[in-house]
Amino acid sequence: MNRPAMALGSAACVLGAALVVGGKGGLVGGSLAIVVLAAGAIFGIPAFITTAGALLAGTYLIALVLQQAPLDLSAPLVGTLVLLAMELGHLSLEEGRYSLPGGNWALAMRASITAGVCVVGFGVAWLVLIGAFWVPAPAGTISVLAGVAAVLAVIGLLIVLGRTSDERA
Amino acid sequence: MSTRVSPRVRGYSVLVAFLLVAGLAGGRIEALAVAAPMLTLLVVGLALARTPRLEASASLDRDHVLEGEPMTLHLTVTCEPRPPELEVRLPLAQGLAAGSELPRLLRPSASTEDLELQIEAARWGGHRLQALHLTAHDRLGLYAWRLDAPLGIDLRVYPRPESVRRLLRPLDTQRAAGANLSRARGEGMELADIAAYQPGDQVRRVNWRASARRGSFMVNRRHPERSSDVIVFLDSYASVGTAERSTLLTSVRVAAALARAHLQQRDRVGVIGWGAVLRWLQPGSGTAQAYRILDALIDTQVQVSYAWRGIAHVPARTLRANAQVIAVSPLADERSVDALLDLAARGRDLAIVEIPPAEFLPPPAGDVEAIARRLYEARRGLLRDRLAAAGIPLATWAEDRPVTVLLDQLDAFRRSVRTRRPA
Repeated sequence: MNRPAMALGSAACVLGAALVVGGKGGLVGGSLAIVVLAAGAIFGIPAFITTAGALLAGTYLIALVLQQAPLDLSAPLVGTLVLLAMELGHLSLEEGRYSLPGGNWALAMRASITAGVCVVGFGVAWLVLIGAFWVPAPAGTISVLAGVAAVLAVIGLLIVLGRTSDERA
Repeated sequence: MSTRVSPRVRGYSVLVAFLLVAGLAGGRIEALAVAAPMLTLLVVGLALARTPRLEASASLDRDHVLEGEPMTLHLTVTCEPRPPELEVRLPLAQGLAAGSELPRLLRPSASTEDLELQIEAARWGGHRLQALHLTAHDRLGLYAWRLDAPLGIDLRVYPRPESVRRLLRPLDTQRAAGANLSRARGEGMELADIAAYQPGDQVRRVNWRASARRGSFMVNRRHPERSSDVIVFLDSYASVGTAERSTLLTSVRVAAALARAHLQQRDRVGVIGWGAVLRWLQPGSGTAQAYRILDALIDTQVQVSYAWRGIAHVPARTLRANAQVIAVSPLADERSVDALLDLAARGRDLAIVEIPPAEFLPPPAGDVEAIARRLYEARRGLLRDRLAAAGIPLATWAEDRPVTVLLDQLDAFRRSVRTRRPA
């Protein structure tokens, strides 16, 4: 019973994000993301769920670059919807665990924590936009290098965290 | 303990990295805004993940039960620090069924949880509870830590007892007192005949009425009650059926019922396990022997073997000349049939309880299978005739036929034919 509900919730989020992305001119990518997510949910392939999210986010960015649009304020919404769609999609695939006796409360707990993280993530995304809007960044090689360094630092942090977690066994 | 990272962690990490690089290359800060929720989830999830210390122990309230009897498994599960979700799975061996719910997803209220699980033994046999699988999950489901805790609990499930009201009378008895009416004359309850008084006869044996009629002293002669040696011959060369219902499962139940009943009337009972592995248990009596027999029976398994073995391989101390042999067999293997015919040819007191394989086969699907089944039944009929011609009493088991009825059939056969006595 929970699995179709989760899958439908995931599809609704993807649809919402696809509507936003489609409004920016990424109709094909948005439609493709819906198809990929549906295939992932139906055939139980987790990689398809993440791929659908990547398709949406990528299409959104490409549309922004091609349109040379000014700062787009719907980015936090897109990011949050993409995350929510992927989380609900994965939850629908993990539903077997939550169908065990005692699983309902665990599902409710996980869903509420995920919702909380999404709200926090939405706030963080807005802070990023506000920061970019209000804090003028100097153009030039130095700022580009600083951006590259920040990106590499984040990627490195993710790799280190992932590896550390693997080694905890 | 092993750690499983959710594919979401790697998928989200790659996506975040892609968005950051793309945003940097395209000069769009929105990429960072799109990546921010995923980044938040990863950072929060990875920061909250703590490898727990998982331990488990278990004990059963009994280590031997009868078929169908419930038992309680006490589980103690320790997970430090207390996880938000703890999955408990206990794979049960074939023949065991969980009476209460497992697997379970626990929300531990403390680091150590005590659980009770009702287990029912659906079929006899030696069972082992191998391991308990514990899986602790973090709050966001990014990590799972799994422990396969070895339990190593052995459980012996004995066949459920079946009441046997009357047993097959042996052709020969032993010297020890028992419940079987001996064919010899001696001290006993059952009147055998009346004979002329001989010097040395006790006065209390004098039959005064017969003496008055004959005009000379006549005495009563009686049959003494003696025990007998009974060998349960369990054929395990082949088994037909499924794991839940097969000729072997039924054979062991019938054999156990026979052994119990004979032990209850103070007979000495032994077992011959006739199969790929030849096993025997010398005749004995008493409660200890009952458990020895049950242990021997529930260890019986069907194993593939092409070796041809004769009855001469059984030690003479186990298969005594005057012992009554009751074979429980599906008669599905020629080696078993040959051994039984050999026993009959040696003049042994032999009776067969046939467990017909056809009872354990699915109904024939289609005309071809129906014809094949009829041919098979015709061959079984020929086999039964062959055994009857050798003077072997044979009773065929059926689902609704108690063991007592089978023994009555054997007794009726014996009365209808002349059985050869052991030399």
